[in-house]
Amino acid sequence: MRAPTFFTLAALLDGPLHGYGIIKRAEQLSEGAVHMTAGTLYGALDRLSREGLVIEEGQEIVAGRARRYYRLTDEGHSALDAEAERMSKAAAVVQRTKGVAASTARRRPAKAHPRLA
Amino acid sequence: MSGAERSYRFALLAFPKPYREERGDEVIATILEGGDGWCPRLREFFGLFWAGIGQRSLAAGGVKTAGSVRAGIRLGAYFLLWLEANSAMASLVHFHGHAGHGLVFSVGAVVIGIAVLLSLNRGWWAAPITLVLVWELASTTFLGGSSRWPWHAGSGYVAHWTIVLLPALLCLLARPHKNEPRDLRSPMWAIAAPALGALMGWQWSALYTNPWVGLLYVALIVAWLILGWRDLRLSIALATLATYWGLWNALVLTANGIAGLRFGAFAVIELVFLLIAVVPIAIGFGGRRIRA
Repeated sequence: MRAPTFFTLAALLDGPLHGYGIIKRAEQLSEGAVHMTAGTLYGALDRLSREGLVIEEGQEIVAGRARRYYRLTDEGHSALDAEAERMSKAAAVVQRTKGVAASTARRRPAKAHPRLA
Repeated sequence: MSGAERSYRFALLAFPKPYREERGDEVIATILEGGDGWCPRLREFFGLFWAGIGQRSLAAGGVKTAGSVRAGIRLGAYFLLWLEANSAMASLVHFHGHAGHGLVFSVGAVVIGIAVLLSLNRGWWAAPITLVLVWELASTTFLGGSSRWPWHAGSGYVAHWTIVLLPALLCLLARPHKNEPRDLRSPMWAIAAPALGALMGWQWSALYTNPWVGLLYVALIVAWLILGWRDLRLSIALATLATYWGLWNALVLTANGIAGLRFGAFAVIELVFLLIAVVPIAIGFGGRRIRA
């Protein structure tokens, strides 16, 4: 799952949001790393709607323009949980590998360079 | 309606009409909520444009192709960059008349091209392009005479044959996954490649007698683009090249034959054409900080 897709889903965890709300929430959750354009957002929303992970929930008219709200479906919640778990496992592998490498380095003292010995 | 909104609505034309009618106002409202004014934000403008092309692809084929569109344009842009580095160096050698330095310049141009490509390249096309570059390096060094006019004989001709070889190499080496919607191994490429190559060779020879002939191969590429709709990546890569060469041919048509072009003016105009073809693409990509 690409980062914009992941954060689009994550933005909807707290409840339904409209387009601009999703962009701002995703930016906030990713600490500024993901700043989607409207084109990226609506591409992601269309795809997620087709996959049944997101659904439209009502709309309102603001300043003469339609503003649709989107919410996560149960499948969307499950997909987000699964992706978060996958990322968590991947991070754990890295941390574990780093720990092993560090303890190995501590046990084996560095050899002196032959030219300096 | 502000200037920015007018620009966004223009970019919205890239979307299919039904999508525009259903979602257009909502998309524009979302963008304008982030800020309005007379000047559009380029990142939003091009983001909208690319998303529209992606939607059109979806409507045409019913499968995900936005990534394919980006990959195709990027492929074309990179290949173009490399060709430019090569031909600019070859022209330099030709115009200065130092035939003895030709090899150094040609090798230098190819090395620059490889450096540019490798520093930018991230995709599955790395292997085929590298092979094309190696072929170009070998052919420019040993087959082409860099002391001669580079478009007429030598490296220019060889470069065109590498363009013809590129689709074939990609077909062989890209090895898309079986479930990938746009299979590059379509037989259409094998049919179209020699036809395009023949026309290109004819075009470059015919330019000396009738420069209008130069526009004919653009027509073939357009036909290929339409017929090869299901192979979007390469179609769009070729369309990127055609954009540049179409503009370049316009220069030839307005000049008094090739001999009438002065080197300084030629280089500047060529650079402008190159920028026209590549800068919008670069801006569109620049906005995408996070990629798959």
